[in-house]
Amino acid sequence: MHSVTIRCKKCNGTLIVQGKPGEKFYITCPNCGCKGMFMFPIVEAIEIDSPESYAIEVDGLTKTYRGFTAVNKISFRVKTGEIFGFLGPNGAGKTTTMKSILDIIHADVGNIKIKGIDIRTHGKEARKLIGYMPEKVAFYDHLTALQNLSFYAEMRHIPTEDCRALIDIVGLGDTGKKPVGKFSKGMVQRLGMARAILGNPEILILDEPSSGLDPRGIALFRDIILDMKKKGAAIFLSSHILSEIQSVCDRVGIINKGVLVAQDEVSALSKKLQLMPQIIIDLETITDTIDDILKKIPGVTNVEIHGKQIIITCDSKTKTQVILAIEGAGCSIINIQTREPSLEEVFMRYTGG
Amino acid sequence: MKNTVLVIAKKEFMENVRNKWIIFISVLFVLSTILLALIYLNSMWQGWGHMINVMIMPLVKILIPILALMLGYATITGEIEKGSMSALLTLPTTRREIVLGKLIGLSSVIMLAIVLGYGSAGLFISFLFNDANLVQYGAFIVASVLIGIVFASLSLLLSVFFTKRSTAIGAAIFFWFFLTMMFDLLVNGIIATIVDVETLSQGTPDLYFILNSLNPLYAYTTAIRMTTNTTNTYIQFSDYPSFFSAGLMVFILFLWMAIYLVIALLIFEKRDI
Repeated sequence: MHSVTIRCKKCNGTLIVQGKPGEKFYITCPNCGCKGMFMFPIVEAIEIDSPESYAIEVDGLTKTYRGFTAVNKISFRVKTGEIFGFLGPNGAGKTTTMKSILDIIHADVGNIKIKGIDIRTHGKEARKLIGYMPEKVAFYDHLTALQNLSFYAEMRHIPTEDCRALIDIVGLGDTGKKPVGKFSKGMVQRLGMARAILGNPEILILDEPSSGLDPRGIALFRDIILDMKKKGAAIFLSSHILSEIQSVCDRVGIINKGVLVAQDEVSALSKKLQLMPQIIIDLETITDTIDDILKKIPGVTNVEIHGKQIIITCDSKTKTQVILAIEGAGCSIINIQTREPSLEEVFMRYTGG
Repeated sequence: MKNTVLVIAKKEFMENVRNKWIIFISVLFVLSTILLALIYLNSMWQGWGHMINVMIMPLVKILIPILALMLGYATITGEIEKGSMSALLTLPTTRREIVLGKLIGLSSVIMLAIVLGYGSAGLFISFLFNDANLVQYGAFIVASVLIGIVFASLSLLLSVFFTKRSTAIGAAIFFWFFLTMMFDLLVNGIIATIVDVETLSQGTPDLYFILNSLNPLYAYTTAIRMTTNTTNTYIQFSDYPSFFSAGLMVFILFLWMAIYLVIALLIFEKRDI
């Protein structure tokens, strides 16, 4: 229950209204008797806990193949407008999880909801909201890019004209009458992305989208993903290119041997693991005592000296102190670089590598 | 729902109608029919209905199942193996619609091949016969389309049951061989084992016909025999069980279509792709 003080528009007298977000009131000003309507703002209510605020909800997902547990009691949520990265070693259960969300694979146990819709019971409605790019992108080989895409557009009740524009966006505008069977792996991958974003879906599920792509393609895909996010889509993305995940994802989940071992923002994960940034300092001259001086600074955990280069591992707050100490010891600094803890380290730690 | 089924059906049709196999077999339909009719005209036999039964149907009985099985065995398993099925399943559609759409698409291609192939050949040879009966020939075409759809739905069943194209084609060949070659031998064996000689000497027992009619191909040939009012040399109409009719045979064909289709749907619904 909230209470708000509002002012009468006519006499400027105050009155207090109590109610829930979204509730409407017809009120009469106690001073002048002016009548009006008041509604509590509902914005907060949506953000707090309405089922639609989660694009994907996975709760206790378990899938077993003949005694082998591919995915074990996985739970996570992807919010609307968020890019959620999904990491894990080969065979960890990434694809199984993604396919279960789409109900291509039927989960043994667990609830999966797409914008509040149960995928198991209302698959058709739920899938209307999803664009998917499978790990193994495949098309109808003897059809052209446009013919292929037009088929999917027709199935989704999207005008065929949109397909031509999409083919241009993914850089396949010049393939014309060439059948998809003669496309290179990277070209098929590009067409796969076009298929996934066809009709601007609210949810995008991408399983290793950049495999087989050239650097230009990887950059293009990153732009497309960020653009979809801008349009308000939730994106659930798996990749083995960690730098790619780190650069686009708001949060990541790490899966290992079918278990979700971590999920959070990358920086929060490195904090949890007490991974610290490194400062790499190149010096013009170096003194022998510098090693001891630096090690004595509280917050410094490691100091490595390679010739005239010092690599110091410390928490971010200590950086200035370290630099002052080096200058104080009479060394002149040529260059300073800082290296944030990488997702790779986080990944290695969580997956026991 | 209708719309997505038809979109899938259309794609399946377009994909298969370009198949060289379908063009080849349609031409084969035309040429074989004309050739057989010409041979028949120079033989000691006579009669349009008899010509359909002894010359054309035995070949149709072999060709149509091959056509349907070859077109359909990979329609699902091939897409799964290649990877395009996962994209299809993530469209706003259901597995039931996918299977129905594919069956409609396949059936349309088969129908087109039969109607064009046998239809044009039939028109041509009708000029060679004095007693040409296009109504009877039309019934033959309709029954042929039905048996084509029965085998299309069997091929879909094999396609959802087997995980690899190679095993699905093996099973398709087995079913073709079993239904065209083995089934009546099996029925003969059963009759010979369980019916005593005395009963056999009094005429063909009903059980023989009943067991045989479990084979859709037998139901197909019997339906045509009964509509063209001609039997082969060793079976007479009076031998058939009294409840046998062309309608019952057509019903059996529809029943097999439904049985294969329902099993295919049940399996596909449960499958992980």
